[in-house]
Amino acid sequence: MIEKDIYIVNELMELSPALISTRVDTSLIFSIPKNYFNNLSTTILNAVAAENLQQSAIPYQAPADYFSNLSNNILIKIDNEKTVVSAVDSELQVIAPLLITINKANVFSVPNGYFNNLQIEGKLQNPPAKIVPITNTNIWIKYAIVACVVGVIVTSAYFFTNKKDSIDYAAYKKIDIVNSISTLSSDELVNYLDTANTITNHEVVNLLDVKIPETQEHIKNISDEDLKQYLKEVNLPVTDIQEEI
Amino acid sequence: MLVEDNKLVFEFKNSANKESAFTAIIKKYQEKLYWHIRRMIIDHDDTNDVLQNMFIKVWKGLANFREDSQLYTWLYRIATNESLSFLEQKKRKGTEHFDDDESGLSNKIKADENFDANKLEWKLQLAIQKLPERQRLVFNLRYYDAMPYEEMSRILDTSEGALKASYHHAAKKIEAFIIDG
Repeated sequence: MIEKDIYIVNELMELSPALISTRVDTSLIFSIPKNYFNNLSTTILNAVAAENLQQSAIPYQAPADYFSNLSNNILIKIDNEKTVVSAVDSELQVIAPLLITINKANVFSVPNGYFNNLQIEGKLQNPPAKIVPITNTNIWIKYAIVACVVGVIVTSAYFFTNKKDSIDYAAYKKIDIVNSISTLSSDELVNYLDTANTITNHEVVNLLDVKIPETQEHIKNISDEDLKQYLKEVNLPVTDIQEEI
Repeated sequence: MLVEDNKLVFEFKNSANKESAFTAIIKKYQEKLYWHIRRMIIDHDDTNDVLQNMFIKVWKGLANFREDSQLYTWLYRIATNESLSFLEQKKRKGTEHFDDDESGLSNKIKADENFDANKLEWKLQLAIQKLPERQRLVFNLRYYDAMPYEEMSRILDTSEGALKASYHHAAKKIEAFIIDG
């Protein structure tokens, strides 16, 4: 260092001897903060770390020409809004010009901080999942089953109680009807024929072995006077019957 | 920073950040929807109830939102229906007399702490309350929100022609009311 200093002094002697006297240590002229160099490395490392963090917080990239078009896009949107508003005003100018002059600012009072503090109270949780039993017996199916059973019972009961007695014609044929009937009085016979519906007169006749003579033949054997007497008793006009005979 | 509606809906439907997406939707639309409801219902507490119920319905229904309409349109429709339902309930309970302009909503307007009968803005509010409910809705959406008829038609499910006619009648009635004092 001393050799270097000597070299500089010798050089200055040749170039400009006046400068030798003004040459002083620069550290004696400019001031620096205390502990500047002690803390310098730490300061630089912190600055580097901060720059790295900023870069890592913004990993995304904006689309190309995004910022160059941004102002234009915003102005277009503003113009569109103005168009709508001016359309409303133009409309009112025709319908009700007075309404254009009225201030549209909200006049109703709102509690302070309402919008800043607005929270939705209530059930924001997802509703619990519906529990579906494994045996999913629908109550309507139960009702249908009961209805079917009742229907079967009722139908069976209906057919059971309304069952007609079967007529044993073979047994009837064996019965000596003529002798049996001859023991009955006329009133009993008439009463039976009027009330009983289980057998018709035609069926009784068919069962008999006795051949009943035709009516015409039978009437021929009855005298006219007997016939007239009969007709009077049953209140039938005599002349009509006479014509038929 | 404004986030596009479709991104908010996507986040709500597809991520674990359902609540933050929902909160973002509330922050974005709360004031617009609040004033839309308030202009119909007038009272702040009632408006708050309707707004709360409205957002609860949004929470429950947003997962199934088909996005065949704008989110904005869907929200407005829910808010409108909730407001009309609220007014209908009040009528049925008999707590409001909406046919009498000296009571009901007109009284609520006059009860507002800022009410000033001499100011045109308040006369306008009293005039609006004289309109039938749906006409009031149409007027508010067009006059205050500057909503295009096409959009209004989607919200109210009414033809544009009918809405224009309704708005014209409403504006004339209101002007006449204000002029006659």
